[in-house]
Amino acid sequence: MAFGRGLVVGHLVTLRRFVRTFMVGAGRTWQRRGGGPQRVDFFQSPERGLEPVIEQTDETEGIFTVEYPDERLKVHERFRVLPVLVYDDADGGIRCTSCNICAKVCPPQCIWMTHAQGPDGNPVPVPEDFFIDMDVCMNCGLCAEYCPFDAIKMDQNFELANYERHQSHIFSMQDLLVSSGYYAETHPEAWMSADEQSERAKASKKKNQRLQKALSSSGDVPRLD
Amino acid sequence: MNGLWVSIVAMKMAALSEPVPWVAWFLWLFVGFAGLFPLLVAYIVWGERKVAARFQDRIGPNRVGPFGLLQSIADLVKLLFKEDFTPARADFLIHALAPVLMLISAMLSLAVIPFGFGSVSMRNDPVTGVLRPTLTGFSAVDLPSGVPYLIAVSSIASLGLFLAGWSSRNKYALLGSMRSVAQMVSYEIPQVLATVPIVLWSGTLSLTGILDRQVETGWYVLTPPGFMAFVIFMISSFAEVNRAPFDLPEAESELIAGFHLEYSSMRFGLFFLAEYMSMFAVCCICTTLFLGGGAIPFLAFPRGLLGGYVVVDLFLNLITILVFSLKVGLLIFLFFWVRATLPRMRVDRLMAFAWKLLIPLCLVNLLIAAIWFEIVIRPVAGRPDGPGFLQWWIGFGVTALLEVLAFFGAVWLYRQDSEHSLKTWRSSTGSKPSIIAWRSVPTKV
Repeated sequence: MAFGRGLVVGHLVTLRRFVRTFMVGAGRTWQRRGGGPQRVDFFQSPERGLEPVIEQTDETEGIFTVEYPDERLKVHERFRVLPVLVYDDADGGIRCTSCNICAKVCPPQCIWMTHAQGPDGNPVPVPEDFFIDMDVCMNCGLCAEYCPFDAIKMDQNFELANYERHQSHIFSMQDLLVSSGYYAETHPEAWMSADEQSERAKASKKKNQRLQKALSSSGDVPRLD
Repeated sequence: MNGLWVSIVAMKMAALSEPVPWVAWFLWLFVGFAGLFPLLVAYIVWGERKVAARFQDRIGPNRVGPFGLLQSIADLVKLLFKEDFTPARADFLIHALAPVLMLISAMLSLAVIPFGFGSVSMRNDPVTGVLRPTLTGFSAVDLPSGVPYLIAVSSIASLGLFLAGWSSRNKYALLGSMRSVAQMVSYEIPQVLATVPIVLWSGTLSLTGILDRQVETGWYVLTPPGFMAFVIFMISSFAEVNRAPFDLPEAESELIAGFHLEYSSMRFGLFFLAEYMSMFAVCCICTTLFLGGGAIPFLAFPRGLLGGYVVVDLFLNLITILVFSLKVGLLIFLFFWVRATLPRMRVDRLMAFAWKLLIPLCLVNLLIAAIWFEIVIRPVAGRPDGPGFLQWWIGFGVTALLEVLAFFGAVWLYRQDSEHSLKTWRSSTGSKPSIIAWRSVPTKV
């Protein structure tokens, strides 16, 4: 029979936790975890895009809060939100051939596109426009998995809130296009992998051939070089 | 702090020039009770959120103003602008009255608290009847019967609570308020019984008189029966002001809201304010009764200097008020600490705890307090130097031993009783305790 021993010990445990937040980690100083003379300032926050990135590991001691808009967690390479269309920095050409595989494989059916047409009305393997309904997209990444031309990739931008959803939440090609340089930056490992490198080489070759073929078959020839 | 100074000046003015006591009244009412105390309570809320956050490795409010200091103000503004909703079939008048009653109860108990030492005047000693210099206390009203007054006004809170549940015309609110009234009525008894030793020792019911005696003879919490009374008083105060681990009336993770289910907007805000203000009031009462009010530990220091110059008096009052607030702050931290540690009690255990453990312990403690009175206080009554060293330690040893025996005895009996009832219940059902077994009891009988 214990006469309130557990009660006292329990209180000491919580008190120790309370005191420790002032002794270790970020609670020790008046600074934020990401640095900077915060918390006492009036209406100051770091500039958008320059927020300090901090990590939460199992070694974090004391206060572990990440004060989100002013500080953020590291975004890892496999983190994915919405798909984007990649164009090549080298020639400015969009990789997508408008083959419609992504639209067919998309589980919630949130992708649709229109084929570009040549001067004589024949289809050209480039999308004229490309749409993703970002409210419907469930971020599964199947489109990027299935794309034979490495044209559609998963992006990491998760700050997509808007004041209006009927127009601005249907992303057109203008909203979706990103450069291959951007993709290389956000996905360095995938970009440098041997797999993707060879794929890139193959895809650009194949695409060029198809484009040439389509254009030459449609009569008058504005050669693309 | 400005308001504090103004009130002190007002008090001195009232003391010096009797024809204008309304100045002091005015300032106490509008600077103190309508201004300073609600503001203080708002920052107790802020402090609770900060402290609770630290207990959970978080930061707490830090977005509104530096360190989140304006958070309470923002919350207040939000509450003011929300819809003030009264259920269609509610009793409108009582529905509006209930939160006000609770707030009034908390404010009335603050009226008799001596926050500082005040000045010194010649009064009859309560024990010997000899005329001697006594503290007047810096309180809004110095009632000669302060302790019964406190008991009376703190009971108004349970009335307000019950009216809130009743007038809402909502069965859940009514059930919640019945639970909480049962709880508050039960815990009022040990709370009041714990103050009886203090009254016995100081021979007066006035809080200022009790403060004066403590400055004279040492804090009551430093004596074994006084410490036991302090612990019992604190535990029952937790229940009285509906704080964890006794926050069943508004158990936020189990009930929707309990008695204030049908309240919104600033009327809910009044309940919130009343809850924290009664917590503040209880801490003030506890400080006055057990922790020597504004007295500095082990010193009668400012006492001898009082009663000379007004400026000196003002300065010394400021010091004693600061010491008082420090002690109150520590007690409030205790409230936060306990809330961060203990899980909520079960309702049947809550009742058993009050009736089977706290009240018997209180009664035994009263006897031990009488022994302390006979050994230490009565033999030296009227002597200026107080109890001798040896006498004090003899009293300490005897009562400490008795207290330890009483504590272990009471807890042992409490446990025996609960085990016994469990056994008889098991044998009567003939199965393992479970809800199904319990349901099968009536069919057998």
